[in-house]
Amino acid sequence: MKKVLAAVLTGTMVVSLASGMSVMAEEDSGYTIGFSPYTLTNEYFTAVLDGVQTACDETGSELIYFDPQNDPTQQASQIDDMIASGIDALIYIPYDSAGAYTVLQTCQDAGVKVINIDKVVTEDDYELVDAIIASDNTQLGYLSGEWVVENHPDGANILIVHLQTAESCIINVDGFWSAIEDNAEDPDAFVEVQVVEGEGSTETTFNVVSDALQANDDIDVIYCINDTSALGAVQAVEEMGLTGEIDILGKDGAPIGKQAIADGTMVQSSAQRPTYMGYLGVYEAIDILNGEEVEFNTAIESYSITAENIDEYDLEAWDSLDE
Amino acid sequence: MEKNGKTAIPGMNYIKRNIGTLGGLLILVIIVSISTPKFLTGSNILNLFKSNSVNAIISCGMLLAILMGEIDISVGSTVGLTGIVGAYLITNAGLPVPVTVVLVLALGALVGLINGIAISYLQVPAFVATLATQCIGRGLTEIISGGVTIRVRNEAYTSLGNSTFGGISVIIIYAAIVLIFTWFLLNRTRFGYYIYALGGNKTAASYSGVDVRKFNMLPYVLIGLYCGLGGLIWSARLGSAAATLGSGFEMDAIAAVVIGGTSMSGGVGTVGGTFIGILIIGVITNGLNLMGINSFWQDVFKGIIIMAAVVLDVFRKSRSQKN
Amino acid sequence: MSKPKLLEMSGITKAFGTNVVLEGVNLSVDRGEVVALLGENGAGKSTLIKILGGIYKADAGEIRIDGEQKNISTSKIAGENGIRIIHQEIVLMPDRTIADNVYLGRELRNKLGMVDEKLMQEETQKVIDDLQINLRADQRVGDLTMGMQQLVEIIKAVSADARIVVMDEPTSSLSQREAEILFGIIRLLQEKKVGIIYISHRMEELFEITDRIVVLRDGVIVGDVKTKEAEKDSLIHMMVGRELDSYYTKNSHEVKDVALEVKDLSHSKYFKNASFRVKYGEIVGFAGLVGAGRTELMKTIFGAYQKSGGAVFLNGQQEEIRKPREAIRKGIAYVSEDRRGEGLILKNDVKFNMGLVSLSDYVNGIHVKNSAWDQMVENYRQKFSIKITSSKQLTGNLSGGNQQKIVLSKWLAADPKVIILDEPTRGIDVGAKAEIYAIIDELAAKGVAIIMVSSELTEIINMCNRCYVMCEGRITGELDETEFSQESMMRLMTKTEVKGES
Repeated sequence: MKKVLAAVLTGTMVVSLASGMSVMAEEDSGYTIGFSPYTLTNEYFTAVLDGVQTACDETGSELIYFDPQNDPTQQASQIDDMIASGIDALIYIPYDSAGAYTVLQTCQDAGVKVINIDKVVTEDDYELVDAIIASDNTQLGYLSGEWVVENHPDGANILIVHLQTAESCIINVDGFWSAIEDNAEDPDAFVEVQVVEGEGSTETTFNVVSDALQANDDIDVIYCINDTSALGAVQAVEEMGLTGEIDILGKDGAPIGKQAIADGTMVQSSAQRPTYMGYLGVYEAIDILNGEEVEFNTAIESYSITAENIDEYDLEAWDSLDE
Repeated sequence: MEKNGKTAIPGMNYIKRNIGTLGGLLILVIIVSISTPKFLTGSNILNLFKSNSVNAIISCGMLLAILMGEIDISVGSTVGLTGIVGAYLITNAGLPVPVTVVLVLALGALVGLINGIAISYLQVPAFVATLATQCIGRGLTEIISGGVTIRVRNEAYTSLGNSTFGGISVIIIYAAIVLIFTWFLLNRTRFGYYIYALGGNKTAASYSGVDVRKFNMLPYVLIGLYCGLGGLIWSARLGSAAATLGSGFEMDAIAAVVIGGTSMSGGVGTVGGTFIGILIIGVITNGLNLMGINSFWQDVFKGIIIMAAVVLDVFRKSRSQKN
Repeated sequence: MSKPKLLEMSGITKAFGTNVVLEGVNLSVDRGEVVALLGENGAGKSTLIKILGGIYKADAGEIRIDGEQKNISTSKIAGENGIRIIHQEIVLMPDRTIADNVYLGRELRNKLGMVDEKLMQEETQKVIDDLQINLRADQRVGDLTMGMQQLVEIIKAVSADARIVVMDEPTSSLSQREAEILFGIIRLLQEKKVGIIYISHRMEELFEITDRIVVLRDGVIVGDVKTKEAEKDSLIHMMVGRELDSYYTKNSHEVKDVALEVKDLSHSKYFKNASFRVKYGEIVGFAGLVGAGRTELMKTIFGAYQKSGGAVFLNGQQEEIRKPREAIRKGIAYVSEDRRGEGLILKNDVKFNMGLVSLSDYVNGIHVKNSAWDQMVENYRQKFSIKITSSKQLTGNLSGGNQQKIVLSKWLAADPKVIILDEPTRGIDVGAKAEIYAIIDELAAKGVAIIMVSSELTEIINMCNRCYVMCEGRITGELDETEFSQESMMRLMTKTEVKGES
């Protein structure tokens, strides 16, 4: 199904490309930048695209991008198409970090510079990429862990809403616990009550958290691996009449997460900076193309969004380009 | 030949007809109750019914399609589309709640009408027709949402999903109404008899004066309407709608209908059986969540039970043929 | 001692639960002998054949081939012993060649272990030529007529060196000409010393090709006579176990006004310029060969097919009927020749099927008038002596006769003015046939206009007041009761259009 849809979308995109829909800037860097996330049906990746688009507009680069709809084979063939249409550099978020080798090899053979962002390729393939920019997944979890220790100094019963198929989320959760190990007076007072699979989706999280609240009546904290699922936890807690008694933490600093913090239904979210990541990616690509040195591996600092500092942020956008 | 004295107890027929699935459900309930004391509590039973309300509504629709020997795989996508549109109309367009409700239900019915016309009048195989509307629905959902979760802050709207009536959640009441309505339709109206007739043998039904095209189309409109209700419930209950809403719903609905003893080739199946199928799926999910068992195992168990149900059905059929 | 017989089944007994289906049945077939197995549906014929074919296991009794006792426990062992059963329903792969079908499951291989298509075709062609059939081994089975496909089954049997061939109602889907070819083949097989068990309801055929007739009733052999010495009436008597007052029922009744008139009705593909009329209280036959366009003409009147020209009048008024629903509303009923495919919903029960046409009498809004519905079912059950244990019984499991009575009940419940009966007794045993003839006669007496399409000329001769004969999409003649004869009908049935005739 997805393939059919992807094919249709690709078809229409090729048509729109051919009809010259791509924006040409006034001051022309002369470069063509390709952008390949593994999906665009998720606001996180549309935020990355925003950053990429902004940077391309600023530098007067031409941008080509496709939506592979979570299909690695589509992603590979779309990148082939981009190379064929003459991109100079590729901003690349691989679907499968272990499966990027062929794509990277093709790019190298074609002389296309690769900036790997967000989801990092395996270390064996480092020599095939020109730069890496990624969130610090440990830190994202760590910030949430710190919040828990600070606000529950005597310990807490914690429910984890996981996305167990994503490596980054596993690192998040590890970071969460190491913050507790590092900062708590008595780390044993922090108990993992249950780990439930929320599939990163609001309605699934709603159901599994509802069940978990039936199974455990002593939950103090729910840590969700993204704001989308945290939203489901918020509703489940509210329906059980436990609003205010359970602290819900998310991750991403997505607009919906920030709005929930402003409402008081969520307490904390560690910010990801997708827009900035995309923005930075394009600038690094152009630097490399211009023969300048760039840092090979950039970890983007995260920050903790809480009720105390929520006023400092834009509730409608994901992240800003400051810094 | 009809000895009326025999059928004194009204529920007996139901038990007799569904003895296999009822037995399975009972065994499941016993196993889960022994494993976790949290299962057989009043609040968890309500929670169980609540979590499966939308699946019950969608399954009633799926039952109609499968009774006709067809299938509707667009249901999940239609739930997503109507949910997003509901959230959009309330939040972004600022329409009043009653208008939004009517428009959302009408949209669901419209998707169903398109399916129905394609299948019945244009003779497109049901799988293909609903595959197409599934793709279209998903695409439109992405376009309308822009990949962004739409939040709903209108309390009159969210109360459609999370208020209670006489201590029972309204969505359980919606599901009960849909189940009873569908039962009435199938057992007390000509519409129902005609669905069984054309599912059993389209030509014979046509030669017996059934307006096959009309009665092949109408059920899809109803399915669409049910999906609209599903979308309304989820967007109200979650206070938000994401583009991924409803994905995979068709699978749970098909599973419930098939486990409930409905023949995939059409003509045979009941609302009562489907209800048991819904409960079996619900108890597996809820029970394993309560026990803290990884969600991937839930899929494994669901698969085994679907297989068992179908094997049982085939076995029963071959035995009745030999006699 | 003479040589032991080719096949001897003796003392065969079989029960399903408490229901004894066969009791001490003896059946023998010698080399080159054609034995007819005759009996009403439910007499135990198919159970006996399934025991011979290794599908069922007998509770008692033994099977000897060439005097040697055999334990035929699977259909594979049956095949190894030269037993081949040709079923009524054809089970062939339509997209493969005749040779592929003939060698299915025992494909010939070349030295490399690959399927040798050429060799299989050569071997198959030898059998075809041997049987003097006009077919090529590389023809696609799906392109053949039903009758020819039946012959492929026989080629398959001969090619596998079958010594005992069972044919279950082989002619029920054959045209007259195809049946003649089949009879020729049976005679050839006789010469090859193959033993044949032949099951059919068509009495005339049995007299033409069999050597001996064995009659089975309620699981017991009640007659075993040489065909030469057999008499039709006594055979029927043996089968049904009672004297049928008269096989056909035909009372004279008052014929009234014209009910249905068809003028120059045409279909783009099946028939041209058909004109005829039927009066109330009249039974009008339609004779013709398979494919003459009779069924298509009836379905067009009924609105299931669309006409390309002409007009239909009911009570003198022209009517446009585009759908079966409209025909039914105007009082026309159509009892299809394909009972299982077009008449009944086999997955549903007796009550459901009987009420389908007149459903609005029993289901209105959300009220189901179960007592009236049950009453209707019970009335017809008694009237037509339908053998069912409950109105909740599935129609798919009933015998052909009972199914046909349910179809008739379904239509009669809607009180039609014109009834089209398309092969109303096809595949139905003798006892039930007689009952259906009586029903038809009674309907005519009540003033219903009846059209009876039939391929059995005796049926038309004995039941109808008038008859039309069709050939290749045209009505080639109309015969009055006084002009009825097999010869006159056959002549019209084969009267192909002569070009240039006005």
